[in-house]
Amino acid sequence: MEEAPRSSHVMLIDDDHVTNIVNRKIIHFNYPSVRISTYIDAAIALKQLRQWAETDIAQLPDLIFLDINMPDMDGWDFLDEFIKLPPLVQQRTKVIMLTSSVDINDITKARTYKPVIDFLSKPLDKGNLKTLIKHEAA
Amino acid sequence: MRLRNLKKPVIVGLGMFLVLAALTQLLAYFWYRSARETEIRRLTNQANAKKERVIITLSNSLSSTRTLAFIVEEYGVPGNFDSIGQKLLKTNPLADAIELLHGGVITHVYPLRGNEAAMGYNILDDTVRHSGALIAIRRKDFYFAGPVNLVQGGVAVIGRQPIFVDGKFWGFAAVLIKLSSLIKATGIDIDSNHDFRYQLSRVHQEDGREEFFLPGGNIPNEHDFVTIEVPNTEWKLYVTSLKQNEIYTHVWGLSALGLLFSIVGGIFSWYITVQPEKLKRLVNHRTSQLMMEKELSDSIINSLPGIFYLYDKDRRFFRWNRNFQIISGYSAEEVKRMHPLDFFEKDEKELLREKIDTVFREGRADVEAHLYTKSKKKITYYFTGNVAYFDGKTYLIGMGIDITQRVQAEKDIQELNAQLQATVERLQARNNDLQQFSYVVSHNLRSPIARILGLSSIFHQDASDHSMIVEKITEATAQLDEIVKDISSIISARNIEEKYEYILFNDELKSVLKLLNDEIQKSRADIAVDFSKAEGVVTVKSYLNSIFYNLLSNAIKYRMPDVPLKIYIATNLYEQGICLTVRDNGIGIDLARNGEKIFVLYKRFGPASVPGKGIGLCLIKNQVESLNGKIDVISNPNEGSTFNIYLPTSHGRSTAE
Repeated sequence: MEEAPRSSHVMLIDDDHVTNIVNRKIIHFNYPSVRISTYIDAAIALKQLRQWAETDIAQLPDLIFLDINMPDMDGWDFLDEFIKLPPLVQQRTKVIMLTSSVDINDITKARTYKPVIDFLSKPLDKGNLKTLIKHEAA
Repeated sequence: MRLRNLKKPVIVGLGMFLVLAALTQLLAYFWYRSARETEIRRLTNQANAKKERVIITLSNSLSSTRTLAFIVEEYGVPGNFDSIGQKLLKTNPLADAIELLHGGVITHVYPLRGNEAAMGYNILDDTVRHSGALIAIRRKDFYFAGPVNLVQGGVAVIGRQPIFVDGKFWGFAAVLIKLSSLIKATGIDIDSNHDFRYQLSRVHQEDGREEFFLPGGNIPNEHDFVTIEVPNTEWKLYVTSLKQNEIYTHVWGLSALGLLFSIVGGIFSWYITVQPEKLKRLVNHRTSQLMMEKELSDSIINSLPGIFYLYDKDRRFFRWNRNFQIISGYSAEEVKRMHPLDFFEKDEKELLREKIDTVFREGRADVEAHLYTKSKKKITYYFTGNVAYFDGKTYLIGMGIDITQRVQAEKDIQELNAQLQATVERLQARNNDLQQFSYVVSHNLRSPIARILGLSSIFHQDASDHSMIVEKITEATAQLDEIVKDISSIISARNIEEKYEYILFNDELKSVLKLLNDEIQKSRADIAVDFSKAEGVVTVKSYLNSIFYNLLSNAIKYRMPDVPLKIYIATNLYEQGICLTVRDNGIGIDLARNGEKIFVLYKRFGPASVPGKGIGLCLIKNQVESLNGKIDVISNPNEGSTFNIYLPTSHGRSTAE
């Protein structure tokens, strides 16, 4: 069990309930101190981020694991809105795309969004999670 | 041929020269003869004139001697001879002396002075000098003798009158005229005009010897001369022309001139004759050149790959090539009588008439048209026309090229292009299908797998919640199974895409309604159908089934919660085929926001509560496109949706494949 840096906050956005449960558990196993918030609707997650940005910056997550394929607002729609949030939010909060399949077109597209720092394939596992959290802390 | 042509003028020239030379020389000769005759006549006239003069001159002496002879015969020898002599000499100034001879002896002389030596001289004894005296005795008449060298000195002629007394010779009365005086008096020394030259000779009776008295001697033989005998004398008077040389000069000049003229004439004739020859040769040369040019132009126009024609403003054909006859099937005689428009069918005559007018008006034109042959065959040709001017007349000159192959090739290319385009579109559609398929495989297939992987990793770390984990794994596995079934159904659907058949819309709709029976019952949908405009279509059965199924199930799924669902299904005809319309009064779609995404795989616009995979419209779109059709949608939120599916009936695939 490793020490989580600071009091980190990770946000999971995925329309699949099971995925959220699994990801939450995996993160919790490895970093019990990390605060985890899950959303099955990207629009609601965005609304929450916007509110934090306005009222309490400390609440903003350090990382967002973002699914692409979702009904109504998909990952791309979310990113389009996310980059419109105040610069402070984007400085503090980085985005990792987490999808069930890795498509080269999606990777290319994701690179055009500044806050996106990585592109991962589901499910999250201990190895890539560790690297990521370390990277984020650095 | 050439040699003969060259020889002829030479012969003509030479002939002309010879004829002219002969004529001119003959002319010169005749002139010469005539000149000589004239000259001799002149000489004769002159001689006669001089003879008269001599006779007149001598006649004085005759009268003197006769008078003395008369006196002697009548009165005997006069005593006063001197006074008689003096008187006689006075009447005859030319005479130098008067003599009286008795027998042959000079008895009296007046004037005596200077003539003393003659006294007593017997002339009859002198054989040299007596001939004249003897002739006078024989003739019994006056006769001049001499000229003789006088005993007393000097040269003189002596006229003697014999005196007969009683019928018997007595003596002579004689007159003595110095030769120089005689010559002077008769003017036969040198002619004042230098026209004539004279000579006086005495022919000796004894030996015929001729003695000349005037300076210059004998008359040259080559000269023309006239001789005349002076009566009562032994003399011959010669007259010759001093102009003799002039005649020669003239005649030679004339001859030379004639010769020159002949030469000039000959050359002139040669030149005149040689001109037509030259001209003929030039004409021959030009003719052969023209023939060559004609042959060349003939061979050029006959070697042209297409047809060639040349006709005038009256549309009369003047030249055309062999191909023109071969291809049109008309003989040269026929072409000659034909009008250019005769080579076209009725429907193209007006176009051609216009184009021909354009050529004559603007200089050039071209046209694609069909050559209508004698055997009523139509060949696609590209015709050109250019205006041309020959001999001040206006012509149309042009060529035609058979473009059947080109036109066919163009058609083929167009067809190939269309086919290629269709293939490209089909391939693009298939590519889209494939991309979707791979997306389906990679995303939807992997999604439950990822879930299972995640769940099992949790299970390894914390088995406390194992019943929930197993349940979720079972769920994910079932989902996986469903997706695999979906994929296999899509694959099998693709495999039958080639099978086109005629399907009645109503039949297919019925089978779909049966499938959706529960949902329809539940939603209490009111479905109105009108397939009267088009009852059926040649298509792929499974696609039509999928179209009906997905559109109807969407209409039911996205109905307004509190408005009775109404669905209207109808077919209509459009330009290329049949349009299938499905209209509902459901919640509609915000096309302004989602227009481009509506047919994208796994895009869902309805509320999250409504179940659905977001695959239906995407599938329909791809199926319609693989039928060469088109799908569009008219929709507004809360106003329902209308889907139009355009199915072309003249699609290539149903016939080509």
